[in-house]
Amino acid sequence: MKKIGLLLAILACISPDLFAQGAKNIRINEVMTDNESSIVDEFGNHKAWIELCNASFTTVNIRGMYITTDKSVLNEDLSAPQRQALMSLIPNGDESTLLSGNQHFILYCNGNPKDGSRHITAKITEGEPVWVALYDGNGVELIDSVTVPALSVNQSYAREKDGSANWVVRGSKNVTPGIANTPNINNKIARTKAEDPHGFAITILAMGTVFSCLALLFVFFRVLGLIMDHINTTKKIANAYPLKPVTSTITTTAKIGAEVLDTTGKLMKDGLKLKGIDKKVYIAVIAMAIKQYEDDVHDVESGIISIKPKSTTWNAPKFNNEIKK
Amino acid sequence: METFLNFLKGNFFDFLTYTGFANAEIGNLIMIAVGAVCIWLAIKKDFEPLLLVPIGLGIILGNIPFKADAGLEIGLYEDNSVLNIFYQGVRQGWYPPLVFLGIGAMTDFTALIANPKLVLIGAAAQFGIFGAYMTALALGFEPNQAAGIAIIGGADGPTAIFLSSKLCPNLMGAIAVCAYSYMALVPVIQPPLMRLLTTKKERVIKMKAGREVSQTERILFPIIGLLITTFIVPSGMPLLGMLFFGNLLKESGKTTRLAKTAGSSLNDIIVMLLGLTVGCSTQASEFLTVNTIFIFVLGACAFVVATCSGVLFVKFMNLFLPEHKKLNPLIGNAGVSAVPMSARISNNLGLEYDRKNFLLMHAMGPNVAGVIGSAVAAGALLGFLS
Repeated sequence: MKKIGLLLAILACISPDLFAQGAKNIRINEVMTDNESSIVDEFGNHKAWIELCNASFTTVNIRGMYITTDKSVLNEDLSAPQRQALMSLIPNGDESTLLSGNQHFILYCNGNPKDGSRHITAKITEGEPVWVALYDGNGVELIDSVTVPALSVNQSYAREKDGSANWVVRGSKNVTPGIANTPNINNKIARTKAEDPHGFAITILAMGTVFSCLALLFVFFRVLGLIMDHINTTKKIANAYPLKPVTSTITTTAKIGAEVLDTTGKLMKDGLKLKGIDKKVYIAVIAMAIKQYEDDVHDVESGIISIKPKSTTWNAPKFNNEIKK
Repeated sequence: METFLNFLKGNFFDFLTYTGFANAEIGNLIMIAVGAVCIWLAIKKDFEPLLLVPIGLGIILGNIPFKADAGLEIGLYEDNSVLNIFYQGVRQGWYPPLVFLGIGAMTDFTALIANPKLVLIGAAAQFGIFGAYMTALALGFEPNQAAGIAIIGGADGPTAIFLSSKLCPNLMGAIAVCAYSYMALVPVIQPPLMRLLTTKKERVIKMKAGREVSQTERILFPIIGLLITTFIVPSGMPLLGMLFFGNLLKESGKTTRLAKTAGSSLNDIIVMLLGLTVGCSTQASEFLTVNTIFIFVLGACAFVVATCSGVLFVKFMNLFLPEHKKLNPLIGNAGVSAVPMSARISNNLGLEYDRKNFLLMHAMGPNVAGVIGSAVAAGALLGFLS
């Protein structure tokens, strides 16, 4: 029950954000202020137009949002109804206001809403700069705005590509009302062709990318492999020769154990550096030392498990004398 | 009665104008013959039957002549036709990632994790792609078309389809058929090049068995691999994401059912639809062009360069490796991502010179690295050119 309550609380917290996020994905995408031979409305008239774009991949309904070209709405002293009076409403009743992902919507300016839902009253004067803003349904929250410079006939001011932050002036042949602002792909290809005609730059860059990716994988898994090897070796030793408690208290046993492991690690490290010593033999020697330590055969010196050479008398002169004789 | 006969006659002659016989062109017949050859190669010669049978039949299906302006909604390129709906998976590029899901679910990366330096061979073999890219530019192809053609050098059908559908959809049919044809011809193309570039002494180099790989490492591989590759090349995310997702399903040990489905039933369904629709897209009017000949020639060059660069790179690596860690250059060809065929070629050739020298597991390392490498290369080209 608590889990359900928690889930509901989380949903309640994030749902208003999700709705707001949907509206925020609507962008002013392209504006034409002086339309002489570009698109026509349903009555065959050339009118200034504003293109909106849903920059997300989800469907967003834009009905009830506001468009304005009147900068006085920026006055914070205005009440919501006063602001709304300065704006043009995107009306209900048109299915095309439901924009699916990456879909575009054209609004004709200087018009009469009675002509249809795409006609708004927002004023645009030909050849003059204009500020265009898109407000949310409350008329207070600014979603997007752009200051359009003075444009020549049939030019448009458009985002370089849908949703991007860069705006460019497009010539009459490159305006894209109602469709994506995508001539960038051709520009990119044309630029690649002009600046890298033999493909050397792309080859170096792309090959570099491939090698970087795979070299990073190599480095990561090489290091991981070494770590895993070390862990496995330690585990094998621990499993083969489990340490028994050698003192009456757990704390003391753990302390001694830690010292043993530390010493073993150092010895292994030193030993593996030496050439000519077989790794397995070395581990066996260490294991034997541990065993002796556990069985109290070994002398107990703090932190030291000795595998140092121990002199015996087997080669003492008194024994050797007999051989000499 | 006369009216009835006129009606009958009119309808009969009208019907005749709809038949394949009335609409056949020489191009259609040539392509039908090509389709038949593909099926023959697949069944008789055992050349990639799982791919060439659907592609071969698709070629025949796509070249059945019919009255295009009759509005029958049957052609691949007609909106709302059944074939058109199947074709969306190719055109929108969602079949290749699903195939990659299956590949991920079937691929064992253990050999690569055990000996990570093999991953570099997979990178080196991608030189074929860029060799072909420069050659295609020299032949006058646009950079986007050149990239689409060059990816054939990766020897990876789904990757070739994915990239060409994004960069040059009009060449996709030819590129796909070319990529799969050369994949089928791996046993013919690679061995002579491998013999040419290696000495007898090198061919009998015995490689040490890889170390044991823990499940933790096998689980970490798809996650780390995904993060590294997609952070560097986000445009390769659809392919790489699905590849590593499939592998995680396999290695997690908790999603065996899903991995089994992804690697068997789902993969089979997608391969059938992919093969059939790619075959269908090779309509004579689109396919029988000079460009197609160039694509096949460039594809062959790309494949040869990829194989050679893989083998030569192993020899280069051997210059820096101690005697007991040297690699057998015969595994270099496996850097192209024709899984597992090119690894099998390495193994067979190794056994030819030493009956006890089994190279299959060693060759699987560069082979699966090649899959990752070609997907990264495709992502990089997509990023640079789109």
